[in-house]
Amino acid sequence: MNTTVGRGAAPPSHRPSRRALAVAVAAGLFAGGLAGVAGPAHASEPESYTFTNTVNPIIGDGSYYSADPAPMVVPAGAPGNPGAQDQLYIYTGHDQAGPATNDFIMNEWGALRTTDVEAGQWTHFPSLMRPETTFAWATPGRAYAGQVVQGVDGRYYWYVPIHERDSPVSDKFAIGVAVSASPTGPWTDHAGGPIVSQRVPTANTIHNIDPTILVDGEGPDQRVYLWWGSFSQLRMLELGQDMKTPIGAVRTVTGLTGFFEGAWAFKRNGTYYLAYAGNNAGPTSQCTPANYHACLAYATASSPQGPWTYRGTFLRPVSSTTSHPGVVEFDGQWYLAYHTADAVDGGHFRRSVAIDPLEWDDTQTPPRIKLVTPTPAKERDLTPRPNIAQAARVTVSNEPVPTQYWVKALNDEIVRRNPLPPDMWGTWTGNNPPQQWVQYTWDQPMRITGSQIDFWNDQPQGTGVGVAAPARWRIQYWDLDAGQWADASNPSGYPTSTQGFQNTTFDPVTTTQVRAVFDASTNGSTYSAVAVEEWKVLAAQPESVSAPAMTVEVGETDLPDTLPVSFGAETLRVPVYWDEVTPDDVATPRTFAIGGTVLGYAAGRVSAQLTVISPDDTEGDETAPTVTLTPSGSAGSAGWFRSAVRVRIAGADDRGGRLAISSRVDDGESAVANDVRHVDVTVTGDGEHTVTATATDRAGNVSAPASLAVRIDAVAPVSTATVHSSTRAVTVTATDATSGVARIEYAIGTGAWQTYTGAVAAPDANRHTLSFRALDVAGNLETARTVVIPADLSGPLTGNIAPIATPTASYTASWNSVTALNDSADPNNPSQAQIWGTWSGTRPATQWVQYTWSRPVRITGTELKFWRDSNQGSGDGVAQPDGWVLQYWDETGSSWRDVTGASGYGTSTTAFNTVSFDPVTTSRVRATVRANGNGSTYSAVAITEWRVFADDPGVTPELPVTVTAQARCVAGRAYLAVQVRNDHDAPVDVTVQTAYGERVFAAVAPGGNAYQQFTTRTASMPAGTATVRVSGSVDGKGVTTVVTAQPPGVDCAADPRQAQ
Amino acid sequence: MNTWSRKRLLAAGASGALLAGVVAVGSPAFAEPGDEAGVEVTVEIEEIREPGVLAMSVAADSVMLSEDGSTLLVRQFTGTLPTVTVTDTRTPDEVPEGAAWAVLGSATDFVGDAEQAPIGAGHLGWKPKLIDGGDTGLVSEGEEVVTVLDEPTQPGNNVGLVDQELLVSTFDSGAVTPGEYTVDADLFLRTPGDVEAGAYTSTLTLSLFE
Repeated sequence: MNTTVGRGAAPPSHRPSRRALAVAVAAGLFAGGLAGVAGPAHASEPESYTFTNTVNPIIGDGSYYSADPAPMVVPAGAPGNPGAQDQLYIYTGHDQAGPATNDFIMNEWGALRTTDVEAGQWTHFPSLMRPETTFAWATPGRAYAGQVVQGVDGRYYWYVPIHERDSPVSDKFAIGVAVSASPTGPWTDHAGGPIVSQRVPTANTIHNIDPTILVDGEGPDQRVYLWWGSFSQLRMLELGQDMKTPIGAVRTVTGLTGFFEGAWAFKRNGTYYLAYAGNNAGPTSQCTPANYHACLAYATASSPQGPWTYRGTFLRPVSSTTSHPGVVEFDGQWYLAYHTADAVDGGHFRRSVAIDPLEWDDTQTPPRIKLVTPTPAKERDLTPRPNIAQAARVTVSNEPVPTQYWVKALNDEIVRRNPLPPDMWGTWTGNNPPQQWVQYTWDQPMRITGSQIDFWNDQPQGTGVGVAAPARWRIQYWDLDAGQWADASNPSGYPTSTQGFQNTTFDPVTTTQVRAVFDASTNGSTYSAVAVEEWKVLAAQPESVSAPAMTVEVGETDLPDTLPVSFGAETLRVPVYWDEVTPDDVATPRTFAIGGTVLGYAAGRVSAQLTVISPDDTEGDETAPTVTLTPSGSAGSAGWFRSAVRVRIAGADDRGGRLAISSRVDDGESAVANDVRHVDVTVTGDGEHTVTATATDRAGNVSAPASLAVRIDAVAPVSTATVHSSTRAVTVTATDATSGVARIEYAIGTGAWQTYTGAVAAPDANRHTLSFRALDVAGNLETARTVVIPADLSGPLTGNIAPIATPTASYTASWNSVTALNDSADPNNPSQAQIWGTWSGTRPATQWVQYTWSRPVRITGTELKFWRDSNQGSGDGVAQPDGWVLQYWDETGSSWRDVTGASGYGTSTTAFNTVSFDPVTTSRVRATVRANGNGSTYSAVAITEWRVFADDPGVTPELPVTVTAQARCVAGRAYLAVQVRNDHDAPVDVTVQTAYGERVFAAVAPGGNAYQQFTTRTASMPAGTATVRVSGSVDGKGVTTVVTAQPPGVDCAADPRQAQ
Repeated sequence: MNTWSRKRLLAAGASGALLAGVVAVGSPAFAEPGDEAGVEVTVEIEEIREPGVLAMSVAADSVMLSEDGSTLLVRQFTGTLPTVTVTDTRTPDEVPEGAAWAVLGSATDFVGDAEQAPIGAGHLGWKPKLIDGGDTGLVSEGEEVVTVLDEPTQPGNNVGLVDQELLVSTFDSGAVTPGEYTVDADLFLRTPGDVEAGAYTSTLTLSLFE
């Protein structure tokens, strides 16, 4: 809470505060008033005003957004501080971005000054320095994170990153240094130019921002060190005592795990510390689960030159995407200055500086920084409202969620005007599926009737790329009776705008789980991802809620966390958040009223009578308590749970006192909890369990034992599919260890799921993808798997056979797709994912695309359409090519040959270039494209769609046999042994022909053999041929298959058996 | 490992008896009526070198050929080779990789009992017949071998049983063991029409190789 006095008064704060703080605020008003009256500004003093605030952010009312704190202590008596108290300055940048601007708009630096952090009386200097005013070589703006230090000569030096106006380099950031005799200026350029840029002191390619300076040592031996850098590049340079002249070479600093930017160097008791903003993200990262969030981490060293040892995180990610450390000791206390987006109307580009104590663990060597706890602590929002999403557990379809997204964003009740990842949950990957979902689960049934969802996008619907609003979506709830998902009934609609909350109402329903299922937007071949900033689920509103009277024992401050809420005939136990009960409130028996907020109840807060009783007053109590067991977990079907189950064992006594509760799981040890009203027992492990409990009241009366059976199957079934090699039918089998397989489902292509009843026949001769999954009795649904039914190419082929080919290419740019060649989609304005293209830094003179079929096909023509975004002669981009030629693979010659009789190769980028040629039978064709060039470089080439036309009679089915022909020696003579195994499923007739004889076998059984050993009557046999004719029936048609084998020769003269 | 065995069938004497037979069926008379025609058909059995593993036996040690189907130009005497049994009691893993057994047969010239000119072994042919080859299809009889008086029915097979000819073989010993396989063969002696009458004896030697 801020109170401002003096010039530039800010609007009053809207932030809530705790009662305890109200005192400080009142004091601040008084002190601030004094300052405003007693401290008229000196003529040369920069503009300032004074205010008092003890709650973070330091300026929290949104009147001024300050970022990148750089604290510095100015001791009493030092230049600029004539007073008797040390002063703490926190120099900051000034975030001036509008509420919907996603960029750092920073034009000046200012400072905050105090003599007592806890008292919170601050003087704010909104504008102490601007780049273009102090540095003649700088452009306005880009006043990023700097630091002020007192130099060797006692003056103040301000190191700042600014843009160098006349720099030719790509990244114009440079570090300049200004000097002043006072901590508040005026500031003059100390070096007359950059001391660091991409050109000085040595050429580099890094982002030269975020300087931090350490003046090390005492008196005449003082040495000056400068660190700077961003985007994971940290550099260090020693400066002369003049604070600007480089000494030695620039060093690259390593050892700072996850370093991103914002280094801050300091020294404590002989140990050097480098604090920094880290962004190593991931589910197991010590720093942050999501990209674009930063933690503050640190490393230590015994010398400014390192080596540095990573020591972990000391501030977890804050509400702004960036984080920035400023560590300082002031009046014997260490502090961390940082920034957040927590001010009124704050954001990632409207940050505000905060300060909290920083504590040390001096039991370790070197001493470690303890994790800083940001204040004020996040408190539950007790505003009555219908949203209940914030109380739900979130699960999503795309675990693990890509690290640029944050699943917590879904129900954090924060909606930004200019959200950036990870302010949303999203699903984008390189290959996006047609469906995604988000699920909320509550610990107890809730009655819901509406939804508000806020979609995020970076692409329009229908593009099939990036993140787009879903094509359609729907809300489903877990039907507690049926044990399955059901669509919400009578939905008012499922709008898909990405502007603001999209409202849906539906018939009230009581459930523990609800999910939003998104059908991704598609361009016909690829799908966009889905992203959601916030999803609220709105509770149905009861006519009224009245809290029953409650009883607690003396000293008992915990109150029941649910209360009964009636919706017509149905009564649910709904979570309630009571105001805090202090030990003083319940110190003696009495009755008083207490307020609370009921989850999802928007009409107002509730009030209850709370009676405090003495636990010892048990005389005459002979009534046994009762005990009830209530399971909660992810409820499945048929009485099964699909997760670990928490069983709440609640005792109730007629007197209202607490109890001793004894509980046991299966045959385990009994556990007794004293002075409780309930205990929670967690039951884990697939299988059937029993929880047994009794309760004993203060008078010693014991309840009847109660027990509850708990059945858990948390593991999804596992299914496997096999595709029959000849019939192409798919057989699926599934197993489930605990509750058993309920059914198997399958879907062909994007078709609907169907229940599997037996082998699934291929629907036609085309290639298909069959998805399959199994559901167990408990309701665990296996993640769908897929199997490919290959195309049946045996029949006659006519028309475009590209879709049944496998496309490959000499090169494909990562943003393009080689499968776009034969996806049968030829949109007017294809996305980059809908074309094949070859742009890269090196663009060769020719590129090719190739189709491969699983058998030779007789082809007669082809056509393709090129794509361009640059003019011919540019030598860059994607241009219309100079020409192309169709080639086929000559199997016998093992070489590529141009097709003959081609009718001419056009190169249009707006119409198909059609070519007919002499029919040729081949299993592979290539279109080899000659790129257009400018004499020194070539443009890339791109094709939207490529078709190849066939006129093919088809393939006669073959009888499967295995022929083995061996040359043998027996008694010095050569023999040719020929074996034919019948791999067909019906008898076949076999004729074996060799140079040494012929043999006919009738009706060789399936799996049986025909075998003949032919005699040569000579001692050696040359390599030859055995010809096997197999006759039989395939699908009722007579078929003859000829198979040849090439037995090697043999010379039996050397065979030892000849001697016999 | 190569195992083999050899059995000698003092076999198939073309003899006066055969000729008598011819007479009996009214063929042009070359034999003397009432001639004793005791045909000696003997078998000489060598000791099996590796008894009880892979073995061959022959159902009889002699066979007599009798005239059947003679023409004006060619006299033919036929009989049936006694059943040859190949018994393999080994287990498949006892059989060497790639082993295959085969039975070969060759005959000596037919020698007359009364100074007649011998009849070359090239005049004796056979047509093996598989009696029981199991159900694998991997045991097959050898091709027919015809005599020097015949046109070849398979390339180069009009040579008679001068050299060792294939009676029966397997493609893969390991695939057909254990088992007992039987084969016999039609035997036929074809001589010119002017062959001298009398009793003849030849020895047919059967050898089992692996």
